[in-house]
Amino acid sequence: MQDISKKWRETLTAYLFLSPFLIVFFVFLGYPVFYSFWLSFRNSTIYIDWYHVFSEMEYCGLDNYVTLLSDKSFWWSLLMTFYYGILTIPTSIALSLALALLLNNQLRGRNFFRAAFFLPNVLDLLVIGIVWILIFSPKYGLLDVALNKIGIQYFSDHNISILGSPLTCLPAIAMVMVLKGAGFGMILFLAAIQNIPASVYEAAEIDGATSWQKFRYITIPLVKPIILFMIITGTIGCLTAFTEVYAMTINTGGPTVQAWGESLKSANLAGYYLYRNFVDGFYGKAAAISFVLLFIALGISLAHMKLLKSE
Amino acid sequence: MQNRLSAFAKTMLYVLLTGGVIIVLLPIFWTVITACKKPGEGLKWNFWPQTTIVSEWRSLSAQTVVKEADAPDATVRYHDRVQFRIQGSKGVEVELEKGARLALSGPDGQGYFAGNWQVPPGMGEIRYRVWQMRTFAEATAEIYTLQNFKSVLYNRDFPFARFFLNSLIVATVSAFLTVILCTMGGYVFAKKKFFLKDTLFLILLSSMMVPGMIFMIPQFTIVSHLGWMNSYQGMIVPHLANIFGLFLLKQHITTIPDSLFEAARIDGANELQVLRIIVFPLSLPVTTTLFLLTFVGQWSNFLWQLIVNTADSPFRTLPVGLALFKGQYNIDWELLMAGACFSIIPIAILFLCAQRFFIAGLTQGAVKE
Repeated sequence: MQDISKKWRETLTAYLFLSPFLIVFFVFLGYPVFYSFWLSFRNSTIYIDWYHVFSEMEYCGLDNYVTLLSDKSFWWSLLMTFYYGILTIPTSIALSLALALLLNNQLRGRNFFRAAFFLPNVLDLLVIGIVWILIFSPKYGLLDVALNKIGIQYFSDHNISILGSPLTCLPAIAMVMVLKGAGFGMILFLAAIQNIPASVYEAAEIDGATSWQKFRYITIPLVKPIILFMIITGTIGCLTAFTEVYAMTINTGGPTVQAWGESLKSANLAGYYLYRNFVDGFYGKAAAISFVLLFIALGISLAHMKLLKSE
Repeated sequence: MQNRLSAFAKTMLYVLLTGGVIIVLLPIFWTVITACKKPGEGLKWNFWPQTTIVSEWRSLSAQTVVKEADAPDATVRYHDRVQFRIQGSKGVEVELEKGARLALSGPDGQGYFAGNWQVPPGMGEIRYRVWQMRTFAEATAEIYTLQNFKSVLYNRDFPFARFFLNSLIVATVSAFLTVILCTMGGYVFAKKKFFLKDTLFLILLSSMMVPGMIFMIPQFTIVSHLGWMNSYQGMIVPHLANIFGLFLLKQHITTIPDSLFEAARIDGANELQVLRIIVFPLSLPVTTTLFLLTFVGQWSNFLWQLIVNTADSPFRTLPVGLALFKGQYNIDWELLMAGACFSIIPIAILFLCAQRFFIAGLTQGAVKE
């Protein structure tokens, strides 16, 4: 009897301590998932004003999802997001791993380099994006000046920014993000590599393993969890990428390209496409997009986990 | 594995790493350099102060008395000689046709250099150009200035001093409350047994997989229904349930030995005292990490703060202010970058002072996953 009341007292205390966290969680994170789902089956009939945006919503069944599937710019945004993922995820894993391997040598100033490479991660992405607009500018931007030096005159001759050309816009954004994020993966890889006992490598050396074999058969398998982690966070990062596009295309979505018989924006990633729909008042459609993105993220994450586990 | 390297390999390594650091930190250098440039200089490939300036070729025609309007000062031609009187600071030379150079003497009390040149008989038109030497400080002042920081701080429509304060308040209060909420929650999950504990844990865990964009629209509705648009609480409260932080704290508090808690209870401490005397002091390194990570995250949380602030809100934070500042005017790059400095420089300093906490948080976070 006393035991039971003690148990309930503990539960009560526990919930009392948890209550601030849980209230915020259920109001601002739990409930929104369901609300978003509900919203994805509604349509706004009229746009009233910024403060009463959801007052005139009407049930519309699967309309939002159907519209999405027939919307070329949505498919385009998914395609561009996929392209962006291909551009960013493998390169940032490779760069992070390379930096970690370089910093895993005995050298003076290792802590300095580690801090310097990591520093861009904590800086404001919007600001970094805006600064890169300057660096990418034709004629006076550092990168274009460097390109001129090695004989590429294209951007200066046409007086367009590297971000202003449909072919280079998204790769340029990807490059900025890879440089900004490289230190993050580097720290993770470094921690993992330093956890590998030296005896493992010594044993391999006795067996006559080359440096490449040691890297391929010892280092890589042991940092695999980090690679998986980076793939999953990278996938989610690409699917929700917004600030970098907003900042570097000056809220336009990038230069226009003609494809599939329509004018499409070359850097219109899914996250930015969602934001545009939201700002333009298509709340139901925006909610539908967010669910499609959620399922893609879940699917990709599960697939990767399965793939890496099975190996 | 720590490789020992040959001297050559080591040098190569240093070159490679230094080059990498320069590239990675390029945006910071560029922000600061552009912010320090005079209006109009930001978009020019002009960084090194020019201590010598050479004028265009000018000409004086024969026989007339001419006062050149575009010359800094009077250059007068009489029938047999030319008189130069040119303002300068360090030294002025006049280069005449056929490479003849005439060093002017001076400066006089008003900063003028002066000199005479005898015109060879029969010479109609005289072409010349002026070489002016300046001190390095003067040349620097021609390109660089600190005025931008001042004018952006007290700009009427975009008061960056206010934005800075807003960012500071939002980031600090968010970080502080997040730490308290996560410590209380972490303590409970680490040390208590209660009804639905495992289910609740699973729900919290799974919500980490959901991309943030899903929450955005409903959060916006809730905030606007609560009347929290354009307010601090609208920016702070929705992000307080930091699940990553909860796990960080839970994992740390699990390692505090139970005997400590039992001893405190035997001494008659209640739950709040246990929290205050044991949990908070013993998890200080972890809470510092969480505080800093939340602070930095909220400092640069752009999308949400853009949504809950209208364009003229007095509660705009630095990123929002910067984005709207950029959209409002024909971009004034020098001022924009001066504003940007207020965003990135304090964070860079904070990071350099407390980097071990940042890195610790990161490594623990990934090991958990």
